[in-house]
Amino acid sequence: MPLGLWFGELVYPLFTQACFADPIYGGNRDKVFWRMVGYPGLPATHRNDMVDFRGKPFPGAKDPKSIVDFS
Amino acid sequence: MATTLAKKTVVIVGGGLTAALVARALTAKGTDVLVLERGHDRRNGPESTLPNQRDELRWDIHGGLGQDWAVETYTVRHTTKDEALPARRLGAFLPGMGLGGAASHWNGFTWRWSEYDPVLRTRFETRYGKQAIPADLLIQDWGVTYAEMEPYHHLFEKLYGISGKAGNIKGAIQPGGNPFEAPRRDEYPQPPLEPTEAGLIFKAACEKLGHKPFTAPSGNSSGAYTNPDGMRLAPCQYCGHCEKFICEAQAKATPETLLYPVLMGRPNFEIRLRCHVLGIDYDGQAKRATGVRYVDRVTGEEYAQPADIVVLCAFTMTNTRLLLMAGIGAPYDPATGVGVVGRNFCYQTNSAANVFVKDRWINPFLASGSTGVTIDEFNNDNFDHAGLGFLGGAGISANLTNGRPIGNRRVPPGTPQWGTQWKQANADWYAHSFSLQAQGTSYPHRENYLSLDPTWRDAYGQPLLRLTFDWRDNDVKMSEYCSQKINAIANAMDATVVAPATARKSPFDTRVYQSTHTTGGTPMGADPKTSVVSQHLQHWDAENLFVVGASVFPHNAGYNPTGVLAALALRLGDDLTGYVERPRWL
Repeated sequence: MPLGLWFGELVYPLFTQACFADPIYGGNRDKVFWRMVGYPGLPATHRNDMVDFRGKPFPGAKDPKSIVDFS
Repeated sequence: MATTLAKKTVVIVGGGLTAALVARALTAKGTDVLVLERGHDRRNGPESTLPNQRDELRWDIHGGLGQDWAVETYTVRHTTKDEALPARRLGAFLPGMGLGGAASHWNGFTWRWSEYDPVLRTRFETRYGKQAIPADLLIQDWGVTYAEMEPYHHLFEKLYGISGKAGNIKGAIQPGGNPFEAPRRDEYPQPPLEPTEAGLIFKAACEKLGHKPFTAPSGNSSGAYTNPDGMRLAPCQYCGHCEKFICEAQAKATPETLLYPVLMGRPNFEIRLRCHVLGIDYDGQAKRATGVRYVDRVTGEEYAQPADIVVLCAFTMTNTRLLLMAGIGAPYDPATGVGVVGRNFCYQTNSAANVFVKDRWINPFLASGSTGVTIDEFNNDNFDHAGLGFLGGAGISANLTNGRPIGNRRVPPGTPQWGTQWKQANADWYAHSFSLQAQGTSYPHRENYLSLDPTWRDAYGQPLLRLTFDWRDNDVKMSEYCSQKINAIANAMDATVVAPATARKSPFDTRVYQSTHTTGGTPMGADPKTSVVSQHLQHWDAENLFVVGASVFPHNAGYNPTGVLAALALRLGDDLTGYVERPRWL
């Protein structure tokens, strides 16, 4: 298998999973990758946020919560 | 040896949406119905409760709710000259497993198709002449009209509490709705969902170009709703975990939320879970199905379940596979065009552009499964195809369904896959980008079909289903046209960067998720030479065998299939209550 294909098809998808999956799987320690992009995580009950923060910075993006925080 | 069980009046294969809708009518009239479902009831499991419901890796990336590919997969090839090989990790589409089937982890888009879709051949021949349809496209009329389906669309939308804005009430075009919508008798049961920021940007660009954007009809509940059966939906939480997930908030209309609880309260309804149907028993001389055989997945015991009536309500390809394995109906042969089972297999011809807007907060995590804004100007036959060299089209939408970070980060073209630049691009664009999608028609092609694989078998030792499928000339030309239309809209958005849509091209790639809308294989119709089941979904070679689902669609439109397959299932439920009283050719 060519190196580029090996990386693109096999390694890169696993790498992104390791980075961006919930920290319960051992990667993304302290939600560092979620913090980097601004993904707020749980609980994601956004019925009011949908209207209040449409088109605006979402405050929860600075302090993401994961499954462990709700277990 | 299989144990033979006591006979049932009706046995249904598969415990998804169509089964529940068929059983609803039958059990209301006192008929006993047994449903066999290979999966289990997941209503109180980690997949449907917080916090584990929000696990992207488990339910989405690893496909935790779908068919187990180690047990059963498909073999795939592009032409009849190729050797098909089994897809070990299928990504293109996601057959369901468990109570509710694929309809438990759908996004919620609920369309009525174009009024002319069930008479598509007649439409094209009338509009463009007898020669308009190329000989290799098996476009055919369905044997049913939209007017016959309308009462069942109406009932389904009421049962599911669909949120939307009508575009055409009894022929009167409604502002804010889809002007190309088939005529409906009244408004949607609930008002539309809240639009996303991406939807608003798309809407403004479309209006600038003179198109008529509207909010797509959705099975995500915009408010609190009680359906005619007394079942309730809660308001959608815009959590971004809809498609590929089970809704923990009872805010997504699904069979296990709205339909099965009612059925399970009826003494003449029975569902057996973790029961995998191995085959249909068929008496070729009498031309009747006598029942089904199944294996209990917990004990490994095999059973023969006799029944007066057998209804196939499994996933699209499973309906075809069961008929082929039982030898009911002649298998389709692409070399001669003779035979019917497996023909008219279609998919969905999609393409997408990515849009990056530096100064707008898109916040992709604020989204429901079907908070889409759409235009229908370039869908199906809503525009003049004279001189274009193809038929069909696509609905073009900004359907921002989620911001789950493994699968839904967009970075501008040319961004490296590692290092500082990769990190910076993700940080810069995650909250400021979205995509535009074309969901396109897929018309039946002579060489796109389903058959049993001669070599490969599943975990039960039965032949795998073989897909012979590729994007053919008509699909590619349609996709090129609609991709240009997407790009024109994207370029009207004052975006910082546009990564333009490129047309679908051969070869079909099974690894990349595209759509779970596989259709056909057991097409319906008025002519037994070109259809597997009649206009009333009765198998031409077995009077007491019925098939329903997207497998009976003779073609696929630029819409999601749920509304139409649900209407067909409700109609079949009514037909079957009459058939139970007086069995006959319907």
